[in-house]
Amino acid sequence: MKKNLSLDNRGFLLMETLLVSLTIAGILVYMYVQYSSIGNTYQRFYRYNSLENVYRVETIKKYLIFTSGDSFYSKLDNGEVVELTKDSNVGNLWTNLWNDLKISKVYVIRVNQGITTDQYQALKDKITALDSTFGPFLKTLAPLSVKDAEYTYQVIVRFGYDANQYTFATQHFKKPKVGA
Amino acid sequence: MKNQKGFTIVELLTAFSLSMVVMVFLFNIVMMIKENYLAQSIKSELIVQQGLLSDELAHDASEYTLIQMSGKKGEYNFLFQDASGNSVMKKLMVTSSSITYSGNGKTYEYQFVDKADPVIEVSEVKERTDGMDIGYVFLDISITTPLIENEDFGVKMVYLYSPLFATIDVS
Repeated sequence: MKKNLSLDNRGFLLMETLLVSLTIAGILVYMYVQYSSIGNTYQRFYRYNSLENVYRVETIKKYLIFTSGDSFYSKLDNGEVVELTKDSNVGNLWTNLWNDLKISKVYVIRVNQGITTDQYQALKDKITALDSTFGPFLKTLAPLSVKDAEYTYQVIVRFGYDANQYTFATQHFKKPKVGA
Repeated sequence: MKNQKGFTIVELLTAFSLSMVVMVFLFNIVMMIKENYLAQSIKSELIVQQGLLSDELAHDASEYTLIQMSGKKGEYNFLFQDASGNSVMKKLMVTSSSITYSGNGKTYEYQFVDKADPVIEVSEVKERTDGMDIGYVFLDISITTPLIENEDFGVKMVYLYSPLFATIDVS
C-alpha cells in the first residue's frame, strides 16, 4: 500500500493540470479580449473623422457645391445614393483633386429635415451594399438633429488606397441658393 | 504517510518552470505596452498639433476668398478678402524646424512635442486650374518623426480660388 502511494504521488493529478491550464488560458483570453477592444477603439478614433480628413472633406464639399449642377441635386432629391469615382464628370479639376487628396471613394446622399432613424439606416444600408468597407464607419453615424436641419445633403468620403489603412470622414452641406 | 504531505520535487520543478515562462511572457507584454504607450502619447500630441495647424490654415481657406498667393518653397504670402470686402494678409513660413503663420495681428507657431524630434518640410506645392471657373493650390506640409514610421502628422491644404479674380505665383 505504501509502495503504491509513493508511486502514485510523483507528479500532478490530471484534474490539477486541467484546472490550472484552464484557469491560465481563461485569464490570457480575457486579457487578449480587453487589449483588442482598446485597440479597436483606438483605431476608430484615428481612422474616422480625423481633423485632417474633415478639412479634406470640407474642400471636397466646397468643390462639389461650386461645380455641381441641377442634375446632381435631382438624383439626390430622388433618394438616390450618388457615387462619385475618379472619372466622374464633376468639373475639370475633379481627377486632380481626387489624386491630390488621395480619395478612393465618395458617396453623397440626401438627409432632409426630420429624416427618421429607419430612413437613415436604409440609406446607410444602400451604401454598405455598394461598398462593404463603409459599413463600420456608417455604424458610427446618426441622422441629423433638428438644429442641424438646414443641411440637406451629406458627403461621405473614403481616403487611401490600402484596404487595411482606409480612413473615412463626412460632412453635411446644403444646396446653394440660386445666384449665390 | 507523514513524508507525503508536501509537494513532490517534480511538482515544484514543473510549477517553477511554468511560472518562469509566464513571467517572461508577462514581462515582454508589459514592456510592449510601455513602449506602445509612449509612442501613442507622442502620437496623440502630434495629432493635437496637427489639428491646431490645420485649424489655423483651414480657417482662412474656408472663411475668406483667396485673391493672391505668392512665394517659393517654404515661404508664402497670402492676400485674402473677407465677406465684408476687407483685405486680410497672411504669411506662412516653413523651415526644417518651425512653422509660423502670421498676419492680422496674430501669430501662430507650431509647438514641438517633447522627444518627437519632428522633421518638417514642404513636400509638395502645386497649382491646378482650368483657367476659367476654378483653380486650387495644393500645399503639402509634411511633419514626420523617427519614433513613428510611415505616418505624416503634417497638413495637406487645398486653397480653392477663382482664376478670374485671383493671382497665383507659387513654386
